[in-house]
Amino acid sequence: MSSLRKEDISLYLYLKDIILNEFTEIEEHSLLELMTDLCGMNSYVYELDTNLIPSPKERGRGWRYFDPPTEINNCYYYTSVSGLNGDGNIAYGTPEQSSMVIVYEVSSSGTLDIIPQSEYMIDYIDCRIVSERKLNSPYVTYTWNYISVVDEWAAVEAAEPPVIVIDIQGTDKSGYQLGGGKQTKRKVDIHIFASNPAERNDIVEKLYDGLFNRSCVMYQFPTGTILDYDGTFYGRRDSDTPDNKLSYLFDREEVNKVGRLLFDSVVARHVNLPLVMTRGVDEIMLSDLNAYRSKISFDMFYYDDRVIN
Amino acid sequence: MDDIKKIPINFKTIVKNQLIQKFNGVVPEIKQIIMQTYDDLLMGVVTDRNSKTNPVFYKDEFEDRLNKIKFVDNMSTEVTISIPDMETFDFSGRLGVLKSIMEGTVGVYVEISALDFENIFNKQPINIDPIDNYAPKKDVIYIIKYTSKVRLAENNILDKKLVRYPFSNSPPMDVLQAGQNYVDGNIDMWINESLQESEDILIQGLGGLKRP
Repeated sequence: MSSLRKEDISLYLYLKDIILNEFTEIEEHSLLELMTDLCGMNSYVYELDTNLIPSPKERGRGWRYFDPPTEINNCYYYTSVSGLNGDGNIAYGTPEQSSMVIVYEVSSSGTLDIIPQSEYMIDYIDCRIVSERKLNSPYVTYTWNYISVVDEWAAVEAAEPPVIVIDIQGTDKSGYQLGGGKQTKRKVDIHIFASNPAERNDIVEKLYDGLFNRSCVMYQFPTGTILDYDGTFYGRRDSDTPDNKLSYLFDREEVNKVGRLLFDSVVARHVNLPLVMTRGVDEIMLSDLNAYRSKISFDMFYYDDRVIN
Repeated sequence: MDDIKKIPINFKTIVKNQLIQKFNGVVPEIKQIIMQTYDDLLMGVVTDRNSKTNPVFYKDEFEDRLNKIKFVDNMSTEVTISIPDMETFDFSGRLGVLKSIMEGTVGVYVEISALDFENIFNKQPINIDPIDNYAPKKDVIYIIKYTSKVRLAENNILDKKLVRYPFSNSPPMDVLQAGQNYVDGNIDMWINESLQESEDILIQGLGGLKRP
């Protein structure tokens, strides 16, 4: 994985999991619907049945895969624990959430019982539960990301607002000391698309404060990112030992000999375009993504002391 | 003694003059880079001949506004060089369409004349300037979201297809940023050169000593 990609994903995780942590919603006892097309031998797939707008299942949202960050006043927001990473090697990091997604089923006596987490996997992106047995009228209580965070312009229209786009553009590398080492600077734009002015202002203020005079770590991602291609917590699906299913964690190993990602020259401004937003009372219309926009621009830089091979 | 006391004051003036000279000398280059970026990013993109939002139509006016900007300010004790950006550049009037293009647009939009707009919505657009205020009503163009209502109106009311806004779903294309990047990459060199030239002038003024 290239350095730029690590920076991009580290910034993405910092914004989504930490800065925008407050913009999460809790939905209780929602129905889970059996997806017969996706089921196989000893594999039952249940999908969230919801009419919420914006939908938790939209691109860039999904269920929360970590419990809330605890050490907000420290430079490190999650307490690392010992466990196994996605490849089964010993590592320090953050385990899968334990309280963000709770699945219930109706028992034979008619009560709603919590199903132990070791009995199912969670597809956090598509809001699905995968179980080895058939569940009896399952329900789910979940915490989901209200703001859609995407990394390409083309994906903005795939979700209802609020949406934010992280766009890393120019790169400038220069020496910063006698001998080896270099300073790498990236120009970053964050485009904010909200559904009303108040929401836009809230998001801009939160992001601005999260970037001004702040920094975040650059992760090594030895086993990739948090979620696997199918939306499950990395390594969870491949575990042979049921006891180990919940001991897997996201490896928070940092890139060696590289400083933190520092944010500088943070500037925020609203974007008002001379477009006509046709919103008549006589028509059903989805909110216009261009109506309440804002943009935060900043420089992201770090010092790199690695030997060039 | 009087001559020696005057040296710091004179040196400050010399440096200031050299900086003004240097900055004024690079302004044409900055303008050229911005216009070159305009050509690279925006010209030749639109192929629909009926489109009124083709950047080709706005290039001259954009260049005129660029030429009116005062890049170098030497009114105070400091010398500043400032590059126009999306906030400070004057996009008023016809150039509003360029602002939409440079900021990027999400979703599909169409170009619609004021006449057609009134036919569909039975009202005039509120608080939105058309692309050209002085054109006849049938040629006054607005950019509106291509909604299901507009799509139906194409067949039922207008009996024609509206011109698609060619920069629908386009990411930002900030032409002005190229000027800022050029200045960021060279400002240290320009200042160093100005200081060196100032030193040379001072040395010559103090008796023609040569730099070792």
